Amino acid sequence: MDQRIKDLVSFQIIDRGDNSIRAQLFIDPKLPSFEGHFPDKPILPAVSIIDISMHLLETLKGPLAFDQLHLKRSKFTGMIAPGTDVEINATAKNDNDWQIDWVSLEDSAKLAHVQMGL
Amino acid sequence: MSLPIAIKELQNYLPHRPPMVWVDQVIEVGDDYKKLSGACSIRLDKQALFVNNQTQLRASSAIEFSAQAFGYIKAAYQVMNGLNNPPTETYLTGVRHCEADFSSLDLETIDELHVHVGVTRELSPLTFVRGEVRVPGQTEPLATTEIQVYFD
Repeated sequence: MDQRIKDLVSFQIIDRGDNSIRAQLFIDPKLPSFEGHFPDKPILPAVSIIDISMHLLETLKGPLAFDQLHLKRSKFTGMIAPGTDVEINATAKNDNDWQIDWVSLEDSAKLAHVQMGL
Repeated sequence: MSLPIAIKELQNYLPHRPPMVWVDQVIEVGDDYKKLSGACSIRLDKQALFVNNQTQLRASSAIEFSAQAFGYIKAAYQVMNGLNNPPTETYLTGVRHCEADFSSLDLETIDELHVHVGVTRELSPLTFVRGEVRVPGQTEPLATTEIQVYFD
């Protein structure tokens, strides 16, 4: 994972097993993506949601290849502004496929649903 | 205005600003606005957010390359045809699939990629777009994407 993201994104692990991990996400508002996406209304880009999801999976699975991606039906349904309290829940569907759900801790709204193969 | 068109000429069409403007030029624009297609070039700046630790192109970038290419190609079509209908809001709302493998890319020798996109379906305000990321001159894509974009 890129050092810029490692320095500005952290997790508080709530629960973890061999095939699942649940964590609260903390993002520094200085994350460079917010600066240009967008200047008047900062929102976490979908690509950052994918990268941060992989970053969380790395805490469970070890280093991942960030130059390869296998993504299936994924939805980005909520706006994640700086300071939004988010919980991420990642569950293995089988040996290779993971489902990662992002939920707002304020109102339990679904923010993103990512399906990826490792 | 004729092709290629620098993105800075079209920047006001989309809300993205540096460091989140990831495509550099519109190099192709199709004739059919309803089934819009085209291509953009991407300069592989090692300091860009889509490069990991100055050495590795991040695979998820293929999705943003496709989304931005679609937006700026739409802008270019409008500019070239005397239209002026920028979106009030635009977001990437879904990815149907993305297969990307940039592991063979050597950023010391390759400094540009092309992203080719085409609309597959439109259910306003949603547009479904297929994308391919390629090394210029090569036909085999390094990444294929199918994305869903909200454009209102």
